[in-house]
Amino acid sequence: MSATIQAMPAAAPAYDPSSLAQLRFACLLPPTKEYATVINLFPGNYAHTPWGTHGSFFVTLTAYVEGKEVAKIHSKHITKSPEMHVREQGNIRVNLDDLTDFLPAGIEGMCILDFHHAREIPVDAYLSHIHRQTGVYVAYPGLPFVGDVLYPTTHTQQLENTLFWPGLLPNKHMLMSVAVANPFPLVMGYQVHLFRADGTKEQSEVFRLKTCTMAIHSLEELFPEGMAAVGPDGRSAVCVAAQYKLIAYMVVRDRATGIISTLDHMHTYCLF
Amino acid sequence: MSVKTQTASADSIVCFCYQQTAAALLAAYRKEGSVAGVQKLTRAGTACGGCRVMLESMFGQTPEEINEFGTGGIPGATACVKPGARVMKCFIAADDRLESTVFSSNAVPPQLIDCDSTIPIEYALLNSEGKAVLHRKEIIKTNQTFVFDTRREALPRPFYGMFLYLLGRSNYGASRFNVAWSNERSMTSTHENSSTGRPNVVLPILADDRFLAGVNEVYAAMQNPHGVPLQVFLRIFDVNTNAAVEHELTLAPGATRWLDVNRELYASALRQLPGATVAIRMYTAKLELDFAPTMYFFLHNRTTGIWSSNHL
Repeated sequence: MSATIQAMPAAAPAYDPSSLAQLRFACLLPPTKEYATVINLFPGNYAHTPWGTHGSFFVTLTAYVEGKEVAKIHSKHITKSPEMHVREQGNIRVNLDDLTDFLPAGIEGMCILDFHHAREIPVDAYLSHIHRQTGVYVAYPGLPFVGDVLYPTTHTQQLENTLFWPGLLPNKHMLMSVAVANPFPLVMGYQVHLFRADGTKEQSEVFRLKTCTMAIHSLEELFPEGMAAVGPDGRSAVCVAAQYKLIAYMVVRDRATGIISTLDHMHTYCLF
Repeated sequence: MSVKTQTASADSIVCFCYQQTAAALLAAYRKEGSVAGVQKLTRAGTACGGCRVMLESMFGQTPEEINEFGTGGIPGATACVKPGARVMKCFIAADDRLESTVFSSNAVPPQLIDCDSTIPIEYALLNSEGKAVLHRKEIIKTNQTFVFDTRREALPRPFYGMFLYLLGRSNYGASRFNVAWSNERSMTSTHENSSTGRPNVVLPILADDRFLAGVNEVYAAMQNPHGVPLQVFLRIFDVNTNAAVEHELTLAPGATRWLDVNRELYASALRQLPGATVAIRMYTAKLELDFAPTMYFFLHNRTTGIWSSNHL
């Protein structure tokens, strides 16, 4: 690898709110007493052809505890030049500690990110959860649920109410769970299914999730026999099927401490 | 007291799976003249099945069974299988700290009931230079899960490479796969990266001198999934001033580069940009999907031994 030092490039185009579109993400909000939560984004992650290379971005994070909105926090532009909203100068940050410093008891629940972005430039929203005591750092992309005008065929190409996670690797230190969020303004029903190594299935009861709440189910509690039968190679899979477009994550945590090592969205059933 | 019956407004969603409104379904019925025609045109009632009762109520006809749709007129197609081929890929590590397990589920959504999705698959493992070190074929039955585990393979170690998975149909179904990296202490997992790559991404982890002196080691795996060499730029920039150190490297077709980000990128840049807080942008000269690498990132916490991971 060769290295060179570069000077600051030219400024980006001026901020233009009329060109913005909105994308919404629903994400887990782990206990703020244990975790710092940070969104740290650099607009431009998807700024390339065929979509375009310039735009303006900002994020609003709304926190919900047991279905009730408890806080709203807006991103900061970390830039000394207000006209610069893309490329490296467009770094935007949301640090939940800016808010929870005022809430001694902390909060735990789910959050919705409203990502305002340049039309025709798709975006990812990466969240980071940092365990305060140990510094274990987990970064992952949020899962969008409403507002994506860029992929008009998505709804006919994917079963968005059925999400899968292939592979349930047993580990004596780590526990696998599914987290399901309901960002919609009505109660949502869902069911978790386990696909065993031999191709047979078992399913959970039907759960109901109130609006703006999140539930976490340990797979070992949902399927004690089925998970005990998962072999050392993890040849099994899980799926969550819901009434509406679903937001579901796989969560892997340390059994002893609860520290998260994986937070990642499950996959839709893709017909394309 | 009079009672008014309120009818659903025309823009009410009836089919949540395919976002079909009452108005759209009525228009489809006027055009097609049957519930089956409505289903064919709009796909309403062909996914979760939750609105089938509403279709019957609206049009007085029993909707067709779910499995009869989704073929698109393709011979041999069903609601869950379309003939064709599709390639997926992911990063594989096998060294003294991590082993890799690849999973792909051939599950059928419970709503589609009893589709037969049995498929032939092929897989290959490329080493860091992009050379194939193994190539195998299997048949995966309906609802079964494919597994490849580096613990069972006689690979030269340390091994960093690309796993390629050829699915014997054109639709992913549930088969988009995951890869888990694990050891006795820790396990972390994410899914396969997009089939092309992303030509302009930023690692969402900021670093400064304090971060480097801390407990987290950052690693990254950069891969070239294309058939041509890729010229890649790694721009380590100060998030406050935008001053930057830039590296350039070339990835051969199929090649994988495992990077010790703390040592090779953050530390060297912070020596040249003292006091800075830096991030890393990875981009290619052509900002196009077909000329883009893929990237996974890892964090190893020295205190707990826990690894976490994800992709860009």
